[in-house]
Amino acid sequence: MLVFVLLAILLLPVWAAAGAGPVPVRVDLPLSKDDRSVLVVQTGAGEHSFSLAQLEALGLYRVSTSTFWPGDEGVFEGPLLADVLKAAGLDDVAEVRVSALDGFTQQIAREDWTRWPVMLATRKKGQPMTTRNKGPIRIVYPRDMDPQLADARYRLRWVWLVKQIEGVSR
Amino acid sequence: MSTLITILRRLLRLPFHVASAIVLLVAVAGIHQLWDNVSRIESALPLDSLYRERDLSAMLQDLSRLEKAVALAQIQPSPANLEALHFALDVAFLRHADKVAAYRGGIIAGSDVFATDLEKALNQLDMTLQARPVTRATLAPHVARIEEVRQRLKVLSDAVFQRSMEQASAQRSELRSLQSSTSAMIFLLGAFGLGLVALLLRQQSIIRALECRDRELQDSERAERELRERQERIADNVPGVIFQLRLEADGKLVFPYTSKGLAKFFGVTPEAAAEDGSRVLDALIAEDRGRVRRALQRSAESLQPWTSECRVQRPDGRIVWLSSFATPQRKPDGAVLWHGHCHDITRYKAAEEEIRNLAFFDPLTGLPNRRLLTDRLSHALATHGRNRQHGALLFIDLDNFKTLNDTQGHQYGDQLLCQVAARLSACVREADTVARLGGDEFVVMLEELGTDVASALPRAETAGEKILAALNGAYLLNGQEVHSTPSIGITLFDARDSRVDELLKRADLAMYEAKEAGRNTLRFFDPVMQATVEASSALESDLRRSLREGGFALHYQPQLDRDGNPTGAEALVRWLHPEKGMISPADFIPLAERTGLIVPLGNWVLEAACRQLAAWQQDAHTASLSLAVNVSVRQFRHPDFVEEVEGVIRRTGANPARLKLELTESLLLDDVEEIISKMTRLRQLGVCFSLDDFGTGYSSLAYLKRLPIDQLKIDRSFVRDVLTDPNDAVIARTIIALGHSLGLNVLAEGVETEAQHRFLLEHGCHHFQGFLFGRPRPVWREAGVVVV
Repeated sequence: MLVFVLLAILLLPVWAAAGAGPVPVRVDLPLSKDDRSVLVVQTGAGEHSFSLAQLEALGLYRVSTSTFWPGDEGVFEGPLLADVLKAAGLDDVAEVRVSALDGFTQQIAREDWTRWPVMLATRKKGQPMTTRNKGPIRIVYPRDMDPQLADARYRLRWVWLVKQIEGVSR
Repeated sequence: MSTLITILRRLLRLPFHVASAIVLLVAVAGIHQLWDNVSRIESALPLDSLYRERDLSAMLQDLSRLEKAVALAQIQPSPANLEALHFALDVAFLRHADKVAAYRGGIIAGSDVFATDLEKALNQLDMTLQARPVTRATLAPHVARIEEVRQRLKVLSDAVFQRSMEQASAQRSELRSLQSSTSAMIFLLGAFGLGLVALLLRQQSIIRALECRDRELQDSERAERELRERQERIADNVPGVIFQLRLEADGKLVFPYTSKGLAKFFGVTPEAAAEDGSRVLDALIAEDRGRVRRALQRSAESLQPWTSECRVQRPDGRIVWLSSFATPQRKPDGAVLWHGHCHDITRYKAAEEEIRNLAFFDPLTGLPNRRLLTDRLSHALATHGRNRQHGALLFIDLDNFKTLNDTQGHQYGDQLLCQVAARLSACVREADTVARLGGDEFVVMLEELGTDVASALPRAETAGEKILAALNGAYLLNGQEVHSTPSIGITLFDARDSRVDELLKRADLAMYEAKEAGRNTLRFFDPVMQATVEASSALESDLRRSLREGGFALHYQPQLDRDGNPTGAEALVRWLHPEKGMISPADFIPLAERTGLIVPLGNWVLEAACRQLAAWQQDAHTASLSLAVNVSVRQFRHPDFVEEVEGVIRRTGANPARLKLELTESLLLDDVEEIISKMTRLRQLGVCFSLDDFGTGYSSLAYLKRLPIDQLKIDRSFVRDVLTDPNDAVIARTIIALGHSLGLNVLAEGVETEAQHRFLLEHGCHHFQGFLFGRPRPVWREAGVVVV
């Protein structure tokens, strides 16, 4: 009994940070009411348009992570990219091309979202992100979860100002 | 390249472990250097510059967009344009926040000031946009301001690019140097890799060489083993024994090596012989052992080859002769080592023995022959000199052997000789020698009879008597009993008698004396006899000289008939010695007989007598006289005797019918048939014969009848005692009767008295000769008339 108590005391800080670990975990927050379209997902069958409300309705996750940029680290919330692609019917493509509002594009392989819980973050520290803060939605990798993700290759895949996702078949 | 080869060569000459250590160290150093180079290559990649330049380009692009948006909004401040301006400003802020690190931190001159100015420009624009209303006027200053920062950013970006290019160029040269250094390392490593390969190859070749040497060693060992086996095979199969013999300094004898034959001959295994060599010598028969040891000792001292012939008793009991030959070597430790062999020479020895027997022994009787006797006699003389001993030599001659041989055949004679040999051998001691000289002559040599003549003489005589008795017994030859008697001559000898042939001659002379003494007896040679011998040898030379120079003369003794009328004479030879005067025939005739001078002397007598006959024929008074001439046995036996007589008669012109040859009975002992044939031929010439000394010898009456003789002469010994000795009287009468009955006339010689004359006359003897009627005289004298 004493052992469990001691374990509990030791693990208390971990639990306390449970809402902000390196591994994304499911969180329940008051969902966004914003129903303006922020994301268009192009599929072979047509296109799906998602508002913030719709995206968050897919299930919110939270992760506390560092990024490649100084001062950019923090706690992010948002649905998993996998869930979004599944909702749009793109979960079986090999790659997706992610386009940003400033014209930046980057391709993400299927391996990334199946291997790691890659997020399509809608919030930072629970607040919606402005354009100046790389919002309204940005790709967040659980960078501290796996040392591999600290590799420079993954830097460009952190697309922000996300506008559109389309499937790319090889 | 040549230095590299030199280094490699030096390296190859280094001991393997040192070379390996050097190669290993260099390889480790090279790898370390390479690793270092690789790390530097990674750090030398211009990633920072690339990122920074890209960031500045992105910022420049954003600022261009903002500049465009501000310009559009200033021209027409519509909500859409303002919205676009808002977005462009947001992006610019975002980019600035994101990229501020790219130009902060003094990366290039003026970059920090630019960063502040850019931030100020963006904030001023933001404030203008926040403070409504937004008009063309409020926006106007921003257009220039944004353009200005864009221009500055452009300059900055170019500078960064320029610097990035420079950096890249520097990094490129750095990479080049890295490349060359790495190449050098690779080359070096390659070289040392090659060195390593060379070392490995060298090691391989060394290993191969070692294996090769190992193989060669095995080969040579095998070859050596085969050689040893072959040598042993040869040694073990060569007849006899091959050996090494070692005489240690302490006198110990060992056989380090012996072939298998050793066991066969000596009954000693090679192992046992290697331990103790005396076991081998012990197998020699006892009497050879000392001799072999002495020969070995001599060889060890002189280092001359050792040769020995010795007998060994084999394990199977047979005694074999071995011949050994070994050459010695002196060893540094003082021992002597012989290498040699010995082999069985038993057969050779037997052959040698046989040859010796043939050379030294008489094949018929197995007795030593003259040669061996001579040897032993010389030896005996030498030893007797040392021991002051006397010995004796017995010369034995069988009396009637010739007759036996002639009448019964050689087989009988040979059998008799063998039996005589056996009896002689049985008579003497083991150490004495019985030899056969040839024919019926045997010699017995007795040794060590004593230190003085007085003791030696009777012992020799005893031995002689014993032999005489032994040989006198009857012999059984082919179932027939035969009698034989010996005549034995004995001489004593000691060391002073140095000449072997002289001794034999003495014994022979003594034997001759025994014969003279009537045979079947023994006689000693004595100094008197010796003197006679010496005198006779002087006489012999005188005799020869006189024969050459004419020192002889004939004397004539008259022969008369019963009426006292002379019928002739007997010619008697006289020798007028130049110094000694007249010498009696009794003294020189035997000498002449022995020396063979009797033949020329006889011929001279014959010729002189015939000349006398021829002379007498010239005178009427003497023409009817006959002349009797003595012919010796030897002379008569001469093959040319008949021709000689014939020649003399022809030369002298003598009437053969007046020539009367007087022969002695001893002539009839041998070859009677030939005698008869010769006599018959002479008889045909007209020559008459008279048998001299009749009654003293062994005349066979059977022969007497067949001989073509005319007259028998009664020996003077019977005539001398005819009146005193009844036996002689009987003999005389018998001879006279025999003569008459055979139709022969009978002459008595040596008549000296009238009584003898009368007795003989009364008993029918019709012819006389003797001092009573006249002594022998150099001239014929009859009734005072001298006829020359």
